[in-house]
Formats: sequence, structure tokens, C-alpha cells
Amino acid sequence: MIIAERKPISEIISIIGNNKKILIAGCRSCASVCMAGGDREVATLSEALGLYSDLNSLGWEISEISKERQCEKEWAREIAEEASSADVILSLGCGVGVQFIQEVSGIPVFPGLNTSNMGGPEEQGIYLEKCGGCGDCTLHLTGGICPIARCSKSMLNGPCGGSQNGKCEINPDTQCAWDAIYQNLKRLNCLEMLSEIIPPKNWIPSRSGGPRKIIRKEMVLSEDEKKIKEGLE
Amino acid sequence: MNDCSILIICCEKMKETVERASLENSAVLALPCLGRIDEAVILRAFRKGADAVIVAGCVEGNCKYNSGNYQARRCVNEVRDILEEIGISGERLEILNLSPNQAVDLVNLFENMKEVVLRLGHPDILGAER
Ligand code: SF4
Ligand code: SF4
Repeated sequence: MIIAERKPISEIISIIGNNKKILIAGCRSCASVCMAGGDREVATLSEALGLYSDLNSLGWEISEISKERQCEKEWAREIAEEASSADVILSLGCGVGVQFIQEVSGIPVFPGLNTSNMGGPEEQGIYLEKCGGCGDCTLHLTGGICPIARCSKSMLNGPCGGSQNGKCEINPDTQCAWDAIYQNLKRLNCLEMLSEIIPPKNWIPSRSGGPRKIIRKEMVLSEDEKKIKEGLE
Repeated sequence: MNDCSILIICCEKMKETVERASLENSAVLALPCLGRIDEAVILRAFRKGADAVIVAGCVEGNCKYNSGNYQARRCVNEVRDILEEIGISGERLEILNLSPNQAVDLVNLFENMKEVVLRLGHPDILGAER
């Protein structure tokens, strides 16, 4: 899932600027699971901004909407339609959501969250990055632990000399990914894999070629099929 | 100070204790469990004119539904941060865990809160806090 966190309210206030009618748009998928942009967070921010507006006589009119996802055109369109009388949409979705809504909206869409990484909850309220989206996954070689995202130096063959008692030298709170890889391979009875040197990664599918696009050929609609579908909508 | 208004949000179990304390100029919002509280409810209370909010629930570990009072504490901490961010003192929001026979603790906290409100002023003059 995508991990994000709410921007400081002072920053949100400055982003809103002189706009008065604000639609706060929540996302019930990742942003909700990381407790940054679900229904509850939308209600909280709505009340907080409303209170700020009342105190400063700004006359903001704030409304709320949440959809299952913002990162699909169908949902994004529903949010944009709801915003017809608003000056701006403040999205509590990830950066992808903001862009999807902006594509179909005639009014500005502003980000209310800072989108951070691909990861998941370690425990309630604690989210850890797990994948760097390198485009050439080698988790089968590293005991199911990603050295790109979880090793501070993204080393493909580790650990480095900074690994101490399972912790990474950058921070005593940070687990050393390569220690974790060792422990996991041991648990899986596959320690011999560590004697193999992992060759340099193929970085071509990473960000070197600009924005990445994945095409599932069999799933792409033909022009005729698109027309039929559009007619049904 | 007679005209400050303080909202007490409590759980059903504490309702009688809160009412017995007969706190002047207060309003009581009783929820089935403090776990039902959320940030928006507290913030809305300030928007509706509360000078301060006290959240009162049972002693931690004694919640009928296990952890409602822990959830409420996290919620209160979060709202305090939000209040500070928008220029309202977090001192206006307190949480108290008490047993049903400890109404005196609530009375004391209420008196302290009145002092806080007296010092900080009403929401309509909150500008002075910033
Ligand atoms: S190896 Fe690449 S694709 Fe696999 S988890 Fe790590 S960053 Fe993600
Ligand atoms: S200590 Fe471990 S996680 Fe940190 S840089 Fe070295 S190998 Fe990577």
C-alpha cells in the first residue's frame, strides 16, 4: 500500500490561500489504512479548518466527500462532479489520487497529504517502507526482504560494516536489512543462498526511462470496445 | 468567573458521577464508551462555543469495552496538537480517568479548567492567544 501522512495544518492553510469553498476529498483505500485520509481524517480536518476559519472570520465553506479510491478515473470523476460549486478540492489521497482528480476537474486540486512510500503498517500507527519499486524484483534472493528499500545503502550484497546487533548504523531504531535477510534465510533453512553474489541489478525498468508504464496487452480495450463501453455508461 | 462554558464528554459508566458533581456552566455529552469519541467531536465542541473540553472516563484497564479510554487519550493528544496548530491553547482540553467515587477529582480539574479559561479568555477573543 501507499504510505502518506497529513501535511501540517499551517501548510494546508497556506496552500488554501484566498479560496473560500473547499471540498475535502478522502480516500478509503491506502490513505485510510495509514490513517491519513479516510473518512475520520476528513472529518477531523474539516472541523479543524472550520474552527480556524471561524476564529479568523474567513468565511470558509467546507464540505466533505470520500470515495473508495481516488486513483481510478471513475471515482476521481465522482469527486470532481461533487465539487462543481467549490473553489478548490483538497485531496487527502496520495499524490496519485490528486493527479487523477485534477485530470478530470476544472478547479484546482491541492494535496493535503505528503505521500512517502510503498510499505505497510508494522503495528497500529507505525508504517514501514518495504519496496522501492525498482522494476526488477529480486526478493527470491534475499529471503523476502527488500534490500533496495530497507537497506539504507540499498546494497545488493550485505551487510556493510555498519551493521551492529541487528541495527543499521544510520539509526539505532533502524533494523539492518541485511541482518534481517540473514535471520530470515536462516529461518527458511536457506542460508547457503548467502554464498551467492547477487549480480548488479538491471536498473533499466527503474526510473531511468522517465515515467513508467506497464501494459497488460490482453486487458487493453480495442477502440470499438471502448466505444461500446462508453455508450453503456 | 461565571460565564465560561465547559463541555464534559464522558462514558455511560461515568455519567452519574459527572452529574453528581453538579458542575455549573457545564454541558455533558455521555457516550456509550469513550472509544466512540473522535477528533471531530471535540473540535466541533470548540466551534460551537465551548471554552474548554474535559473528557472523563474510567481508569485505564477498567473500560467495559477494553480500551475505549486508551483510544480517547490518543484522540485527546491528537486534538491538542491540532488546537495548538490553529492557534488555540491545548490547555483547553484535558482527559481524566477516574473511579465512580472520585467525583472530587473531576471537581478539582473543573476548577483548574475554569482558571485556564479565565487566563486565556473566550474563544471569541482567542486572537489574543496567538
Ligand atoms: S527488489 Fe525491487 S521490486 Fe522487489 S521489493 Fe525491492 S524495490 Fe521492490
Ligand atoms: S547497516 Fe545494514 S541496513 Fe544499514 S547500510 Fe549497512 S547493510 Fe544496509
